Amino acid sequence: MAIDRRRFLELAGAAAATGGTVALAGCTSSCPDSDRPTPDRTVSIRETPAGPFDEPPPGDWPTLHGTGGRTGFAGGSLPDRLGVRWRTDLDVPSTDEGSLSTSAPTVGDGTVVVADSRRVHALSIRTGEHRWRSDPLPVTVHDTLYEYQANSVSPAIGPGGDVYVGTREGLTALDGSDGSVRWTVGGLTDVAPPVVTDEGVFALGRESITATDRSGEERWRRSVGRGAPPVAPALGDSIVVVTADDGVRGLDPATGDERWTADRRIETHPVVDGGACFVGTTEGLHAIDVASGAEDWTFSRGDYRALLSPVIAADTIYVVEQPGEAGAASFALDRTDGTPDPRWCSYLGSGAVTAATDDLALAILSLGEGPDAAQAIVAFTKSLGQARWAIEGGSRPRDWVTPPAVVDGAVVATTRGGTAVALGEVGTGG
Amino acid sequence: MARGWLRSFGGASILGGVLTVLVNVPSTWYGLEPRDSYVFDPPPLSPLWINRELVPVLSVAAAIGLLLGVVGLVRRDWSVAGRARRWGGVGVVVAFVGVTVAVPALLYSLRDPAGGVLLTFAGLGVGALSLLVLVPSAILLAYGYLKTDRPRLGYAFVGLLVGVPVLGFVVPEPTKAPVAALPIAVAWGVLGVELFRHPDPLSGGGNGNER
Repeated sequence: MAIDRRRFLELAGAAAATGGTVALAGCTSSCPDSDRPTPDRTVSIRETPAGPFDEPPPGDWPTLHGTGGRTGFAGGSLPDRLGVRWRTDLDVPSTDEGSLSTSAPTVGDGTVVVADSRRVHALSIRTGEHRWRSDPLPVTVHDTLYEYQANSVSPAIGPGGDVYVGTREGLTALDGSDGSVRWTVGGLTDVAPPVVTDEGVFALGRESITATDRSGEERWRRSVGRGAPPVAPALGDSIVVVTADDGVRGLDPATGDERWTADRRIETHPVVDGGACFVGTTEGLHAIDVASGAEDWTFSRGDYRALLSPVIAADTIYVVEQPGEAGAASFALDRTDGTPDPRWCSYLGSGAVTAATDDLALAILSLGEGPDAAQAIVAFTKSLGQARWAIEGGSRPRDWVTPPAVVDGAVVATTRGGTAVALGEVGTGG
Repeated sequence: MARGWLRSFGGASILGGVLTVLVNVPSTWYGLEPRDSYVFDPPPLSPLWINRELVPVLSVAAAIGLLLGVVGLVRRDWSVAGRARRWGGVGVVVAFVGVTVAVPALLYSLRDPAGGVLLTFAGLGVGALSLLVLVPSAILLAYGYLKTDRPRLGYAFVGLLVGVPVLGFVVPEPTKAPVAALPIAVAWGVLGVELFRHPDPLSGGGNGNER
């Protein structure tokens, strides 16, 4: 069939219009909410502290994202009347020498542990007083594009209180009582936040992953051949999930043998909860059966809308939708019947949900537009996504908050510039 | 058209006018608070459910009611109407068909932008074209009915054409929308009563034919 010039132009115009519309659709968020939240109450980390906790808040947040599975779920609840209980400015390298390198905090054994690019610091969770500071260490640092992430990796706290930190040269174990180096595993580069169990420590570097018992003896080592900076591995009952050059890989934690590989390229950490591994990709959020490696389901919000950084709570999945050219949105997905069903979504700009309790999702986002807008931790209600309160850091990069540690009744947060702060109930004598 | 049908269209017209005011009631009046997030399935009968589920349905019902009123009027008077009433009536019918299509399209695209970009453009385009057709057609219709034996419908349309923009400009928020919708309700109320009480064709100028 011959196509004359007029017909050709008609077809070309229609194709361009359709293509442009489809491309535009993928560049925008699928969330109808496009306004930043207005929290009912805002607490500045610079407000005068109300004083130490009477007792250390119960509960632990021993590694980045809270659990070995990296779920980000703390359970329990947080008080509505949240206020600063203590604030400590850490002695971190100046911005000229070491950049804004304070890590996200971890909590275990009554201690808050924070790393910067050169050291690990331990504070009392009750008072914020220094317990120890390690000798200089080449802590793993990678400049992140995401405002809600820290540049330095978070240390992990083991069951006995010892501290494990990834470095540019391997894995280092510190004595939990004084911060002295107990042992080091070498032959790894840019080690991600490790996972610690009663049996041992799993540490992922750029090239390989090792399993080491808690005395420092290496049990196995497997190549993952990943050139990119490693993301934190996730641990399930009988699986260690790592990102590798060929996708997401499930390994036997006892032997390191490969159980399965899923051909999924992920940019953020995998999460393991129960029998499922959750990975976010540019195609959507995928649930992988940890026993077989088969994909149980994929949840998508359309082409070119990546779903990243999942937080897995008891009956809710929080995930960040990142379109190609627009601001991100958080989605709360109901998972009570197995497959995810959207409950609410909220505009995040360049932020992300990083933690959750039984009834709240904690997101890091900017509360306004422009260079003077403050970064804050905002608490959204689980059921309707209402912003109950916010913990405001500041507008300068050194005041940007990192993913907080959440324990029962308290939140511990740090800023990139080295301020550690604990918030708990105020106004009742604590 | 049968008298019974015309009376039904009259009832639909009155209902459409009333619903037009109701759907423009500010959401804060029935308890909707500003929200920080978009909730996909609001609890039934909650203010958010009224705003998200009930108001869109009533909006579509209102548009259909207004459309049926004009269809009934044009159908009743077609045999005796002059050019102004015929062209104006057809134009208003076409415009309200467009509005009736655009309202659900826009409401759906607002609910699900993921699949609604084309729908949004289509809804906005059809809505804009409908408004362009509606204004001159309503002027023609008002002119035509001002020349009939019962000119109150013409006055109602004139009141609509003047009242909506003036009230929309003068009345402050949050009462602006329902007050600005009142002339629509009055015009379609008069239209509904006209169809209900006078189902016979209305001739123009007392001579039965204004063509």
